[in-house]
Amino acid sequence: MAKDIDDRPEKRRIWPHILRFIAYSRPYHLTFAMIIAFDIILMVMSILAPNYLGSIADYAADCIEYGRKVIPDEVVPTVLLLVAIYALIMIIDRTKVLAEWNTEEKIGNMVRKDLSSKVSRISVGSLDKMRKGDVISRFVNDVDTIRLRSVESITRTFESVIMLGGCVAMMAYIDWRLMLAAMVPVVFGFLCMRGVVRISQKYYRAQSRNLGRMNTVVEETYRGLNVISLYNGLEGVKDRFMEVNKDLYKVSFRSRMMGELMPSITGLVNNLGYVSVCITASLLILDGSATFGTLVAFLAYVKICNRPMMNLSNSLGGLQEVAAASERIFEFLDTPEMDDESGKGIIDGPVEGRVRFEDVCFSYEPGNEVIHDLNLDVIPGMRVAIVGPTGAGKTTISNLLLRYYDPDSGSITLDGKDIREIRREEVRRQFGVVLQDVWLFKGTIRQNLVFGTEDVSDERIMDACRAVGLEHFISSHKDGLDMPIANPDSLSSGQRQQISIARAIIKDAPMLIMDEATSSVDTRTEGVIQDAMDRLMKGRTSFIIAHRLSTIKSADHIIVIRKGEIIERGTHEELLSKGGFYRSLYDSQFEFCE
Amino acid sequence: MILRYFTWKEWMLTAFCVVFVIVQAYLDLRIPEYMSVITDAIVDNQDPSVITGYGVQMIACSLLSIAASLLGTMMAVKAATSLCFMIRERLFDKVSQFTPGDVDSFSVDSLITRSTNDVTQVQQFLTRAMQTIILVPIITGWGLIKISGSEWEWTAATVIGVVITVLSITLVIWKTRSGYRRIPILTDRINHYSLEHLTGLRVVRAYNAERFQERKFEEASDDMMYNSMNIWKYSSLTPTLSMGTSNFLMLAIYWVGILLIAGTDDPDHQLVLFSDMIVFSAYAIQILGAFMRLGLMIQFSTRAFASIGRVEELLRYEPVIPDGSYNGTGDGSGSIEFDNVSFTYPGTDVEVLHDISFRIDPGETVAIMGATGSGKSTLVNLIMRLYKCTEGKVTVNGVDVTEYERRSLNSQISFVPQTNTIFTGTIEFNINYGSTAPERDMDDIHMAESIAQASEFIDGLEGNESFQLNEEGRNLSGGQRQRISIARAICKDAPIWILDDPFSALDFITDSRLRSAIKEYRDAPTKIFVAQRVGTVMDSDKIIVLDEGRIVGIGRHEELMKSCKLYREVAESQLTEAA
Repeated sequence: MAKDIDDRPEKRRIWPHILRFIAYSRPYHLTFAMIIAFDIILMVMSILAPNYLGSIADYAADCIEYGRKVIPDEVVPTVLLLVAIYALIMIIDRTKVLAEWNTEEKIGNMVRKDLSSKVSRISVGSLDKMRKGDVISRFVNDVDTIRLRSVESITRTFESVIMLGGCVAMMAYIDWRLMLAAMVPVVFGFLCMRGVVRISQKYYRAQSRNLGRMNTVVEETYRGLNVISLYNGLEGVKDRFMEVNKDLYKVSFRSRMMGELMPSITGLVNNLGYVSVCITASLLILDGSATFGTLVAFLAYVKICNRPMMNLSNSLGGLQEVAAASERIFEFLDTPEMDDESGKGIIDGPVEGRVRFEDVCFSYEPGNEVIHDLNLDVIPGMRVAIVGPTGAGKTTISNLLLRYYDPDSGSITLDGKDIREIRREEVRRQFGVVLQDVWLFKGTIRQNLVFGTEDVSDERIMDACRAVGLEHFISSHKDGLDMPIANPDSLSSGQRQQISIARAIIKDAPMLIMDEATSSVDTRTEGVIQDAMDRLMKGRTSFIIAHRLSTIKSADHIIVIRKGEIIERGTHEELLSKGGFYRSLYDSQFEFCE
Repeated sequence: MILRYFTWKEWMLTAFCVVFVIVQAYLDLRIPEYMSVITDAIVDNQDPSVITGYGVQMIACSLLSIAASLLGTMMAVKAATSLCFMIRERLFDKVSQFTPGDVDSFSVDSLITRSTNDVTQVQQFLTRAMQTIILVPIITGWGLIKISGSEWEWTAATVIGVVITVLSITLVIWKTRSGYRRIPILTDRINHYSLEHLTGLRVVRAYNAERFQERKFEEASDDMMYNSMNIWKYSSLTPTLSMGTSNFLMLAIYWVGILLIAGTDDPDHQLVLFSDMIVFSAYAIQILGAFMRLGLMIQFSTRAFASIGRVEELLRYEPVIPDGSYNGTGDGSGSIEFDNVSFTYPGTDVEVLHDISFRIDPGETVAIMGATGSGKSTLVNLIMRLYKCTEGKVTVNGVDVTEYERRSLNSQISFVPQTNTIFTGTIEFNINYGSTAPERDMDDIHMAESIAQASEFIDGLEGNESFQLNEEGRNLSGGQRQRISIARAICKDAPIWILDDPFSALDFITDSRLRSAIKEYRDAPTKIFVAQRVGTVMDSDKIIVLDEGRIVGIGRHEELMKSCKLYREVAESQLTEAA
């Protein structure tokens, strides 16, 4: 069984990923700054407010102590001031919380869209090597982590550091010796936290990765369920699933526990700080170099310090999750892209359709060449059939024509121009394409048919449907063209092929590529489609990959390829009389008839 | 509720968690006491060693509290993660029993999100929720004991504070519930569109429809964002309101205290009232804080509740085709019989098969022919019990398929589906697949490969059978994938072979070689081919011709040429064209 991509080098550093994320979220830096500023204001205000509240208590205490009468009116100004402060706190807090949460959503949305548009810029080859479940886990799970934790942890970290700095400065101002006494445990605490971060980062990464693995296993299983079940293969899959499930269980337990360690360390550090300040103070008071008043003032700052310390330790846990998620997101965003082609030419006016392969060599993996020195000259309007055993490289030719891949050496030209010098989408615009893998999406029949083509009239759609024999199927449904395809698998493969062909007819491009277009269509329907295709191919350069000789016979030029080389070429009659590979291919279809 | 799935183990963990949380709460309350003892000692000018002594005690207390808190958390996290571990397994087992009908009623995307993302939500919620749920009654109870016997005005103020908190949170939950419920559905959509784009990559690019796909995704992504922002509009009020409430409550307690103190002239009573005020304010805030935490937890759990609901729905779902109990193999002969079978896909009203009856004897080679959409694949799916007959019954080896245990029925059939399923893994893994794989050796695999005409290309691959296939076999050509899929069926070597038009991507030479190799295969299993070309089926023992879900002809080639108009037409058109 395939080993998942677990054995990458362990990079446990979180800051590069966090810095990268911060740089990435540039449009929101101002909001970040605002959140941090608001939070500091809030912290200062909530530190000050208790003093006013305390002054009310002091007033009462004084009155009682000195036997004065308590007059409520005398505290009214303080009460009103507090009402004002509390109201202001609420307004600022409300603004801040909303800004913070909305920014998280916006950043999440930005990441998602960037991931999605990235897909279009990665080559087919690179995407083929990825596992879909894992990619989607990045789109969903990792983005969720970013959405829920990023802004909060980052701004909290910043403001905690600022607040801590302020506190330390104030402490040093009061008494530097006590400040040192207070800072020793803090430094100790930071060292502990760093250790925890180092260890736990591994678990956070493992958690992200295992969520990806889980997605992959579940995806593959649920999609292949019929076959797996019919081969009683569920136990094997279950073993693999349970392996991932156990790993996920272990790492989520550990990463969560590691996250819990942080606040505990902070709590301990705070208490240690208190004790160490008190002991030092008692010594200082004893030798007369400090007073009890100093200690009281100092302890107030120690207490104030606790809050940013607590926040910091909480946000460190968040930062780790964000770092793990960012790493995976940026890993995908960093996938090498196809070359930028905005400088390349477009095709003006209608193409003639002259296609020439010159000494084309190609391999998917280095050292394993699938196309060797292919030479082919296709004159405009020519119908070329590509024949050969499976795996000979037929589909590769269509991959090269459509520029899913570019040749290793040699060139393919269109109207004399190297197609590598024309923008990919321009090349593809010239072809109506029916591929081996029929693909329909959830939506209506209409959406599937007009896919990628704009402003198509119903008439044109129905004409195409008639041509491929779909008319009855569509008109018998109450919604007609707007009939929904909730699940493409509910259509037979023949019907899916018919829709794919109609789609190519509607596109009405100057050239055609048909890769096994009718392999699953029954022969009677195929006859209907054949007529339509004959009409369609008239005057258009067409490449037809097929096994059914009925489809091939009428081609102007047939090339027989085997192991990546053209071994025979000519018209049907020429090749038959030659008595070579084509002949044996042709004869083989009658073996059962005799 | 989800707690239904707690086993004794999780309950034990929860019980321990309760104990540890109580210990921690107690120790945490001791720490401020130590703090005042220490400051008092300094005021009294005690010796630094005495202060150090108290300090050590305080740190010890703090360490114990940390230990208790970590142990408590450990129990909670352990219970939550192990519960989710179990839920994931159960979901997986549940979906494992699904047939296509069941899958359709959820959609694959939704099944995937439910088994992954939704469970993660539940897990995160549970770890957070457990401690809160335990802590709230403890703190409330503790606080209530401390403040009982104080003036009613203060209690009234606290009650008002709690009521405001509870009301505002309830209101927010009520306002946001539909938004929260949409989140998993929107997640499904994000999942769906990203998967759709990745699956249809080549077609999307051929039609320059990248933007079209991206737009769909972006729309879903925007919907997700706006939905959440809509929720935040209300739920972001909660933290602010809670903080405001507790601030104003504090102020109210002091104000009421001042009024009360002003209302009496007895200095002793004044002193009692004053200290009550200080104590009351401290505990009232704690109680309010506890309710706040509870409220926030409930609020943020709304999304988790939506996920829990989806997970539960799946856990409770009963597959449409219940598994049978018969674990034998009937007469083991490989015979199949359809008895007045009609079939309509669930949720549709078009009858796909109508009144089908025929019998296939052991060892026969049978072809099923018909136009696209005539019901060929549906017919073979019924043999494998992928769907349930609407009427009539199908028997395999003389036993009604509904009576079989799935495993037993599956053991009788080697199946090649129309669309290939290739697993990530080696070629060997893909060919020698399933529960009976260990019973077969390399010779069997080679034999299956050679019948499936796959030896030649496999020999050309690096590492031969140990060649790694990408997801869905994307590093092979269509025809190669098809032959792997055929070799898998041959390798399994069950008494009944069902091949659903599996030669569509093969060239004629390979096709005919494959057919003759299968024909010559020693054990002569029952073979059912779904086919389109008369040339390839004419020597079958039986040809079943389907037209719009009805059998219009059944018999040998020669018989059908005479008796079946449709067959004759198709045959003539194909044979003349080829000649």
